[in-house]
Amino acid sequence: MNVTADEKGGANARTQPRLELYGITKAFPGVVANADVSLSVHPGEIHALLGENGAGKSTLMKMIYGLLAPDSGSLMWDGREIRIEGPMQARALGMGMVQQHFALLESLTVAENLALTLNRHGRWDPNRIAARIEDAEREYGLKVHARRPVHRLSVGERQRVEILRCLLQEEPLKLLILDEPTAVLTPQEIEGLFAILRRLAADGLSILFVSHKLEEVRGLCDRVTVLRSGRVVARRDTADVSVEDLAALMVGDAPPPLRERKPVALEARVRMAVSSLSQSTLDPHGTALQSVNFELRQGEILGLAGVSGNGQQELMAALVGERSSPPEAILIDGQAVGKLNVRARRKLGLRYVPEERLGKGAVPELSLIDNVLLTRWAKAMQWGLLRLGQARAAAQSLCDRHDVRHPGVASPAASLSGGNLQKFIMGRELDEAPEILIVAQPTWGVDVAAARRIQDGLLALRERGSALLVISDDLDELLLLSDRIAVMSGGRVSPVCPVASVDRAELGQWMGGNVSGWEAFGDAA
Amino acid sequence: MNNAVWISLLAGVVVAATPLLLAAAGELVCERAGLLNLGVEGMMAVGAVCGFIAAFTSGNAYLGLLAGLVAGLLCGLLFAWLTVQLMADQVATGLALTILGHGLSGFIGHGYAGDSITGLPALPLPGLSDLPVLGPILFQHTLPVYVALALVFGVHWFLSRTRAGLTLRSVGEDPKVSYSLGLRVNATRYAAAAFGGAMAGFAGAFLSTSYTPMWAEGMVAGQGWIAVGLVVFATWRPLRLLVGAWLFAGVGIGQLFSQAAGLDLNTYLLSALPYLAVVVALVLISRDPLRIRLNTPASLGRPFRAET
Repeated sequence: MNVTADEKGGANARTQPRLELYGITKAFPGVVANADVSLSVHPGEIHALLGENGAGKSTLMKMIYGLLAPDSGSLMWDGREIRIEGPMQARALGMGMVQQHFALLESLTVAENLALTLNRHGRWDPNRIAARIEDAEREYGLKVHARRPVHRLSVGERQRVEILRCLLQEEPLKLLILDEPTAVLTPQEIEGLFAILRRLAADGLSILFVSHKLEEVRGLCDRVTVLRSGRVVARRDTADVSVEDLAALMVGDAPPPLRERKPVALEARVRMAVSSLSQSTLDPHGTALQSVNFELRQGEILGLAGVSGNGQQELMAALVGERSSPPEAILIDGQAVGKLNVRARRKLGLRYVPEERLGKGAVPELSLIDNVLLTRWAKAMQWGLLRLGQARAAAQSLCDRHDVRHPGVASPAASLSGGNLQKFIMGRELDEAPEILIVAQPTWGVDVAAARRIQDGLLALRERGSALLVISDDLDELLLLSDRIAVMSGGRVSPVCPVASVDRAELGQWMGGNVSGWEAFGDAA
Repeated sequence: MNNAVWISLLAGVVVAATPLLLAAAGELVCERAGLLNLGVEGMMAVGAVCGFIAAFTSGNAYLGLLAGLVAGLLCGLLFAWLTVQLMADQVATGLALTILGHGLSGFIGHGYAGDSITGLPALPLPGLSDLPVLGPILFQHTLPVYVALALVFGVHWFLSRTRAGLTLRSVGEDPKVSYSLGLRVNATRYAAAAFGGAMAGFAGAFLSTSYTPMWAEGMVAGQGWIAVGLVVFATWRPLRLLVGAWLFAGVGIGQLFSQAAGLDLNTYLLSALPYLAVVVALVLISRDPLRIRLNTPASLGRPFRAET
């Protein structure tokens, strides 16, 4: 309805490009996020922006959408040079953006969220808005519940709401920017999304599809621009390029192969056991745990897959001792620890890396030195006093070994980029060689080479006989790392199965909340 | 006690609740936009002194109300300028505003202590004021009493039924998201702070031109703080302000009556009763943390800055 349908067809160089960027440069303190980036998108084209985590894709999209201002370079819209002062102006031009972290207000209903950007100058009539949502649902096949508050929606539904909002906005939508839209979806939901995007493009909409997933780019997009370290390294028609070529373009040098895995003895000692763990949630937008059961054995990596927001945070809090549970619900080496606090559980050898880097994994305002001390103060103590020289040296060597790029170890943790902070926190815990390690999203936001290093560190730890629980929404990574795998959905944990015998499609079904197969699967653990 | 006493007691409660309702409704709007303004007490003091001086010099108590409102509005804008524009810490700025308001009102009002004015006349509402029982309790008061009651319902309607109210709630819940949707975060917060200040100033002027038509330093006497507490007590829902304000005022008035009735109780203990009542009430309503968090403006007290 809102899509201009006058210019159909794919990447046609003769038509007027809808958006052109020339020489866009943007620097943040200590890092150049985009250097001399040029790009063009035509009407009806699905254009991929491919690059590793930290390559500068999100920064570029934020500049197009007016959330950031470029340091230099120019931007053309329908052939005219423009300056975008803010998202308000971007929307007025006909841009819509679905950000990686959804821009939805959780306590409002879907209709209220949409009302914020809809028909802004007219009278506000909730019934009319609901009617428009229903029309759009029918037209685009986007199923949403208009009167439900957003915090009750699944991640897939939230994304549909975001897309719907872009389609319904007052100014006809001409360019849709999707920043890593598939990161939070199950394989089945991804197919549904792609079908919708293809239809919209056929109607003349330009789509900028930001991703680091090669198969998706090949399968969906017409053209691809590859970013590496903030620079454009290639522009291709996806029809002319193989997945392997794309990978080489994106990563540059191929990352070192992962170390060979030694088989783990199945009868190995159980280090941590969780039985019938149920717990309400303290977060109004959270998920309660429902009778969670699993065992974590010595020398194994147990992967816990699932779309985030399905109880992973609540489970983590219960396992590490941020919340107490019935004593017998969690055993470490046979000892009931449900009532023990974080510190007592650390003494039993349990370490963890939370999903929330700033605020839980590290204190944003404290220096890197102090952040090292947070979990390792015992080693820098002498006669009850901290030895600051030693702490500084420890922080320095940690950063050197794990390739953490930083403006100085005395600078606050918040000054690190997400990927570098992740390397820092993972390095801090891996160096301690903990007996039991629980990690959420171990390679979140880091590039391929660094991810490989972190994965290698996890495998090395496994070889030393530690027990590792890796919680992630990246199914591919879990299949690569884990010995056994389970799925978390709606606060429940599926039976644990050996990775060698799992079916990817079935895991996808489970992640989507289809738990009917769980019981039939029996207790494989 | 006979019926007449009860009616005059309840009418007293409605009047005593008025400054609390006014200031708390303003603060509620301000907080729903994400600004925690702890300067209500100071803004009320400034409103009270400006209101009194205007009423005293002009001889018109209604001008006093207007002056108090404008003075409070300016205080609210000052708060917004400091916290929204200059990104000063909201808690510290609010506390500073309270201290500033106290000092400033004492300074300005120095020569006026002991002067007296004719207070606002009562405006019995035609028709309604003749109702038995309800008439004298609710409908034989001065203008600000009616304004306060209308304000609570007005704020409820504004927040739940209008686009501007929806925008305000969005800004309070998540300014970043609101900004990326093209909403004017800073303008919304300025407006909310100005409204909060204006209502606090109006409440102060009601104290000095109607409740006790005179000026004395420190006459606000903690009512601004009670208003701040009432917003939490009401879990940021306007209609609950009524319950809180009447409960509070009721305990205060009841204490006066019990003294007059010659009950032999420690007066300090009696004066502490309203505060104890609020603590008990807060504990009781805190038993459902989930619901409270859903209503709490998620960005309350946190500054917002657009990336550059």
